[in-house]
Parts: sequence; C-alpha cells; structure tokens
Amino acid sequence: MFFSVDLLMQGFGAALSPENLLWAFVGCFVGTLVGVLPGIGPSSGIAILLPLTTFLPPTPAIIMLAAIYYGAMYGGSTTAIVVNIPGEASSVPTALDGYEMAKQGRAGAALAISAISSFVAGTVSLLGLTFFAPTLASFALYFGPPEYFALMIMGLSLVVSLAGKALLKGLVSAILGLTASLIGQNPLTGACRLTFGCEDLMAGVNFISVIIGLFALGEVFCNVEQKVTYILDNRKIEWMPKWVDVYRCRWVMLRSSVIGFFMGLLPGCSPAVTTFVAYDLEKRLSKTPERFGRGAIEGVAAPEGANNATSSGGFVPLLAFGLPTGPALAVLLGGLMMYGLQPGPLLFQSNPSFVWAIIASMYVGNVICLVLNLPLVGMWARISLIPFPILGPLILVFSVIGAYSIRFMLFDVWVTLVFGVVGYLMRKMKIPMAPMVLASVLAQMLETSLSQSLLISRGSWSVFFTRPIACVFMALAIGSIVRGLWVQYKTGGPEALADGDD
Amino acid sequence: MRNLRSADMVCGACIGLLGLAVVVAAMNIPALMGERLPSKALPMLCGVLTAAGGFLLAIKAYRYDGEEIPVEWPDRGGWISLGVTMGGLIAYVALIELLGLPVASMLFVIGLVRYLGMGLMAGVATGLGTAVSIYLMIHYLALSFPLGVLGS
Amino acid sequence: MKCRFHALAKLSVFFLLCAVLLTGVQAHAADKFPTHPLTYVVTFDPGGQSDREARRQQPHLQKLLGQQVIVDYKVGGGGAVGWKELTKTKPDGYSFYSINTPHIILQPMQQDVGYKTEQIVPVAMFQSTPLGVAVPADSPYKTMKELLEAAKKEPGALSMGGSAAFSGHHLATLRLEKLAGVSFSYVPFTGSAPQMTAALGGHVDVVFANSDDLVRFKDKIRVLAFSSAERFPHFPDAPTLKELGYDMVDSIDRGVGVPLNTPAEAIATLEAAFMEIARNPDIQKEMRDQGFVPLALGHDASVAYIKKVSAEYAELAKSIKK
Repeated sequence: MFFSVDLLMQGFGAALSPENLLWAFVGCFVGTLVGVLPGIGPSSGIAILLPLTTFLPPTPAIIMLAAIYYGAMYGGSTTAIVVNIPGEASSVPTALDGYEMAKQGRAGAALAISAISSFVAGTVSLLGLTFFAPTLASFALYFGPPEYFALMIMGLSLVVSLAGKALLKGLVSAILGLTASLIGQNPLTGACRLTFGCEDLMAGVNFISVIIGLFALGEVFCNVEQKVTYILDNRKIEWMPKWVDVYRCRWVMLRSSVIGFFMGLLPGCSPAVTTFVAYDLEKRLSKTPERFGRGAIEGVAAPEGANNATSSGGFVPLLAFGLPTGPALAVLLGGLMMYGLQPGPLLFQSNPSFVWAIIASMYVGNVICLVLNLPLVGMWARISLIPFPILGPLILVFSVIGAYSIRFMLFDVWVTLVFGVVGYLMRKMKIPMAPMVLASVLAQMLETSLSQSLLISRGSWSVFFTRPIACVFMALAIGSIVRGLWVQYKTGGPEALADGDD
Repeated sequence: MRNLRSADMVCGACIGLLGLAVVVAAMNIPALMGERLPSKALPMLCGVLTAAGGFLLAIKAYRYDGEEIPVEWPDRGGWISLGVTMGGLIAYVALIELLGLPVASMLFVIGLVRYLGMGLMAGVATGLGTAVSIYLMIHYLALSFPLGVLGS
Repeated sequence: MKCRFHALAKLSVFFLLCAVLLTGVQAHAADKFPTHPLTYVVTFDPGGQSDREARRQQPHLQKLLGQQVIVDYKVGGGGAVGWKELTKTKPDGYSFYSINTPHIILQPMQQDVGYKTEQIVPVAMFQSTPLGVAVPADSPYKTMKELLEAAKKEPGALSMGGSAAFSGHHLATLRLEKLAGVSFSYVPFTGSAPQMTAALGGHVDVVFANSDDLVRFKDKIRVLAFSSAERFPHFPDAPTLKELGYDMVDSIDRGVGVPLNTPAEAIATLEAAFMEIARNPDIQKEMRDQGFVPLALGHDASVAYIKKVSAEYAELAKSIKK
C-alpha cells in the first residue's frame, strides 16, 4: 500500500541530486570516522551533529544523519580487526576471527571482506525495507517480554557452542559474566545489589568495559610479557582478499543479511545478539568449524553482514511507527521531530517524497561507504606493521579512551583494567572469553524481560511455552543445548582439560 | 600453579568462594512490594551457579590424571615487564583527572614506548602525536574528556 | 642515570608550565560568570524527553550566556547515576544537570542512592508531561469507567505498563488504585520506548504514559483519561481524572539543577537564561505541538514546588507502606 516504483524512482532522483549526494557523502565519511575513533559512538556522533544540521532542509539533514549511523557500522569493525579493540558489543565476534587474521598478516583481507559483506547485507536488508516495510513493521509488535526472554535464552544457549571443547570452563565464564552484570542497580526498580557496600559499584559494570578489558588489554599484557616486537606472526602480508574468498562467503553474507534484518526489526534487541547468532550459525553450518576462532574469513563476514543488516532493519519500525530500536535511532527520531516530521504510517502518506528520498539515499550511501572503505583497507591494515613497543602503548591509550567514553566516568576505566587482568589470567588458564562477553551483553535484557513476563503472566512460567513465538525460541534454545552436549559427548568423550580453543 | 591441573584447582576454588560471597550478599537484598521475581532471586541463582561451577572445576582438575599440561607463566623478566606496564597503566588512569587526558596520555605513551625498547625520538614523537590528536578531538568534537592542565 | 635526570628536568619544566597556566586561569576567574564553556549534563538516554529539551535549548543558551554549551550524558539507574555525580561535582555553576520530579524525590525516599533531594539545587523547571491512561486502539475498554470496573472485578488481572518501578508512572498507578479501590499488576519497563512498544503490541492491557508519547502514537491508542488539572489540548475528549471523581494530578516535570554551595550569582545568570528561553513564545508553541506542557518556574518557585511535591509523596509513600 505504500510502495510504488514511481515513488522509489522519484526517491532515487532526489537522492542523486548533487546536494543530497554531497550530504550523504559527508555522513558516510563522518560515520566511518566515528566508527573508527574510540570514544565516540554513533549515538553521540549523531547527537553532536544534530544542532549543526539546523541550517539544512530536512531531507539532506536526515540523509546525513542516517549515513552517519550506517557509516559507523562500516568503521566499527576496523579497530576490532586491526588492534583487537571491539568498540561496541556487536563487533566482538568480528574480533574473534578478524584479529587472528590480522596476526596472520591477512588484516587487509579481513577488512575488505567486512566492507564487502557490510555492503551486501546493507543492500539486501534495504530491499527488505523497501518492499516489506509496512508488512514487517508489525513484526516488532509481536515481541513482548516473554518473547524477548525466550530470545535471550536462545542467545545464552550459544555459550555451549562458543565454549568449544572446554564446556565447563565456558559455562563458568558465562556465569561469571552474568554475575558481574548484576552488580549495581536493578534496571527496573533501582534496587542495589552485590555492591558489597561500595558506592561506586552502584553504577554497575558496563559490558563495553568487560569487552575492552578482556580483549584489548588482556592481549597487550600477553604481548608485553613475551616481549613481542610485532603483532604479526609472519611478515607475509596479504592486502586484499582473493576473489575466491569473497565467493566462498556469498551464502554467508546472504544468510547473515536475513538474520540481521529480522533481528534488527526488534526494538530492545541488542545488535550484539544478532552478530553472535550469525557467527554461531556459520560455525555450525561450516564443514570446518574448527577454523572458527583461528582466522576464518567467514567468521568476519557473518557478524559484519548481520551488523549492517540490523542497522537497516531498524529503520522499519522507526519509519513505520516511530519506534527506535536503539539509542542512535532514538537520536535520529529526535532529529525527525525537530523538523516536525512525525514518523508513522502518516509520514508515508503525507511526505512520501521525503521517506523515499531517505530510503533511496541509503542504497546510494552503502555504495559510497564501500567505495570509501575499500581504498582505506590498505592503510588500516598497515597498522599491524607498526612495531609493538609503539603500537602496544597506543592500544592501551585507545582502550582507556574507549572505556572512559562509555559514560564519561573514570569508574568504567577502572572496571576495564580489572577485566584486563581477568582477561590475561583467562588466556593463561585457557578459559574461553566469548561466553563471558555474550552473557554480560545479554544479562540486562534477560533480567528485565523475565521479571516483566512474570508480572504479566501473574507468576506463571508457562507463558514462555504457551505463546507461539516464545515457544519456538525456547525449543530452538533447548535443541541447541542438547545438540551441543551430544556433539561433545560423541566427539570428545570426557572433556579435555586443557582444550579451550576459542 | 605450574601446570594447568593445579592452576585449575586454585582458580576453581577462588571462583567457588566468590560464588559463596555472592550468595551471602544476595541474601541481604530486601524484597520489594508487588514483585513476581524477587529481587534476590537472580543474584542468588548466579551465586549458587558460580559456586557450583567453581568447585566443580576444582574437583574435576583434582581427579584429572592425564598428561600434565604446563601453564606458560612468564619468566622473571616477563613478570617485571608486566608489572611495569600494569603499574604505568594504573598511574596513567589515576592521573587522567589531574593532568587531563592529552597530557597524561602523552606521558604514559612516552614512558611505555621507551620502556618497551624504542628510542627516545620514537617515544616523544608518538607521545606528542597522541596528545595533539586527542586534544584536537576533544576540542573540535566538544567531547567532555578531562582536559586537566590544558583546560581553561 | 642520565636518562632519568633528563626526565626529571623535563618534568620540572612541565610543572612550571602548569603553574603558569593555572595562575592564568585564576586571573580569569575574577571576570563575570561564565568565562569558559559550560556543560549541560543529561541524566537520561539521548533521544528522551530531557535530551530533546536540552538540544532545543543548547543554541539559545550559547547565545544568551555567550559561551559554548556542551551537552553530555550521564545515564543509569533511572537518573540516579547522574544525580549522584551532581552532588559531587564542583559547585561553580559550569556544570548543570537535567533533573526530573518526582524521580529526584522518590529515589532517595525509597533507598540510599548516593544523593539526597536537598543536595540538588534547582535552577529552573521548564518542561512538563502530564500522565495519561491509555489502552491500545483495539482494546475492549472504551471508557475509564469500564476499565476500572474490569480492574475491580478481578484484582491484578489487568497489567499496567509504566516506565521503571517507583517512578512517576508507578506512583500515579498506586494513587489511582487507592482512590478507585482497584488493583493492577504494574509492569515496569526500562524506558518509554519499550513501554509504548509493549502497549502497541497489546502485551500490557493499559499504560500510564507521558503526554508526548501519547501524542506520538495518537492514532494507535485510545486515551481514556488524563491526570492533568485541565483537559489536555491534544485529547479534548479524554476527561481528567478529577472530573471522574479521582482527586489526583500527576505529571513529570523537568528542569536543571546544580550542587549545593553554587554561588548565587551563577545560579541567577543560568536562571535568567533558562527563563528567557522558557518564555519564548516560539519555543512554547513547538513544545505544545510535540505534546509537552511548557513551564517557567525560576529558582525560588522550583524550590517551593519541589518542597510541596515532596510533602505529598512522603504522605503517599507512608500510606502505601502500611
């Protein structure tokens, strides 16, 4: 009812006008920068630029702000791959294989595949946005607290496969992550728990601190101890992916686009969940799952694709209902309202030229981002050529800035340092880190959706099995746990003590 | 702690004790009115699971009698480098509010680059570069990082 | 040894420089407030009501104060993280924090959150959202009476969605329950976006929500009643709770505050700037269009207002605890 070829063509006409093209380019450029720089995420990036757009008419202004949003998704993987600092939770799975690739001298290939995969997934999910926006918009509304809880349980069940052969250690790692996230105030009631009398702990442990600490600091500590001179294992450098790599990832990209797009429709579903699900799916479908975590190129393509598809998917509920799926889109919504544009079905009817210009500009913007990012690949990849005595201190500084900028509190930096030491010890003890990260990302949503579900159902746990969508996720979760345990039982026999290969 | 078995035993026991501490702390969480999921339920559950997981790990390691797997702890020099890096990092973070992010970062980078074995020139150049880029970022993007001595 | 000496020399030069800079700053401080950029700290997520107001005011504040104003976020614990920091920040007027009633009153009343209501000095209050009772458009309840009857018949069967526990929404629900002799199952959400999503999807039966959110989803919900003193202009057909015989007026009011011991001169300067913006008819119109109610309470009026509301809530909290 909303879509017509004419309107889309008009949209492209508007998006390709020199003025709009210029602002889309500016947005993509700033977005890529925002993604790469630690200390400034997409939401603060958009918020900072929001007042500057007042001199622009609404269409170019929103085109630019949207471009910053998806542009940041392109840039976000760079630090995860090159220096093992995932700037946000969604790029953690990227770091798992991306940094391994960088150490093997294949940073260029990893960066390039992440840009290509982002482009493919971004475009595929834009097709979804273009053709199915009104139909799919209500998808978001089917998700109430019980569905979110079931989804989170499914996410948590991935721990079994992320833990690899070190199942017990993986579970311990996950449960520690959960416990750490409970510290501080209950997100719903504000009640304090597990602060052990320390007032600072009331602010809670933010999962970004956990991630930066475990990954970036832990790695630097290990390198320092071993007096590493270069992070590269060898000096054979591969700047660009071979076509065969891209070809191998073709289904990976498409699958992760679909996953990312659908999960992007859900307000309140963290993009981190999406990227982990996409990563895990590829690991399961792969004929050689043991390569994952050791520099598999599919392990970079999947989360990056899913990440970008999520960001386009988020525009469906935003444009159709005015429901933002995350803080960055909430700021964008604020921008729309600043211009007196009220998102919702009415916007499609009263302002079709505006809506379609925005959607068309996103196709154009994805091309711009690809063209902008591919040539930069060589430059970013050369970072791994910097001698470690210079690179190491810089990584530490960047981590500190990244941690500080979560909430602009020094407390978060201290938490990050603590998790840096934890990450170092976990590496030594061969305890897998991915489960801890996943658990700390999921914890808040898990808790709030559980307590909301029980309030709605008046205390009955059956609600997770009587509502169809929730039931499907629960079944998937249970299935995946059982299958994971079965595979372990079949292959490993008694769990090998040392084998924590993730 | 030399091999993974003993390391796992120590680590498991520590995690187990941590879990017990969480259980004790969770018991003191007061109930609020109108709750279906008591405030203490999840922390309690996590505490119990942490304790169980930790002790299980320790027991499993104790009963393990396979091949001995060494843990690669650093040598003396490694411990010293690690200690200096961590100490430097702590000093750096502690000084951020006093000196400001650009200056504290500069001192930290110069110090650590030098310590890790690069020349003075390389250290100073990297440090200055860091400080200037951080300062420009803060200034032009109006981010609220502490500027310390550079702020006015 | 030589190297260390080098470092020492450099360090002393550096400290000398610092000292020079610091005295420079001191000399400056004698000038009229404000002499350097100010920080407007928003205590809720970007995109929320407080943030949108701050972004609206930012360019005007810069013009009126003649200094750069940086909007910054300290988010967490329903605002408590930011307000705790407010009480610890340097009382020089260069950092001011967005504040909300009843949050700053209810939180310290409930438990130790690291700050006390009295430690926050309001500068001005400028934005208010009355609370409305709304159901999804396809809900069987057409009027407030039908809703309350259903809630009375089976206590706790109807779920009432709101933003956070012990918040304005929660207290309004409790007040309504008490006045009407009914009971709902109150379901807290982490913010108004998830709250409204749950309402639109029919996952909760009814919501107590901020007026601007209700205006935003006008065509998807049915507003049954408003807790404002008079009928809300966007929903002229929805009666006030007072008209229905329930004597309650509830709203969430927003302003900015500074820590205790902030110089009176700084407060007065900030107050003047905020009041001028709040009285600007163009801004008032923009706010009304978006479903806000513009306020213009200065420092003294805000202090009196917070005191009055505190007394009310203290009484309510006492009666609930029994």
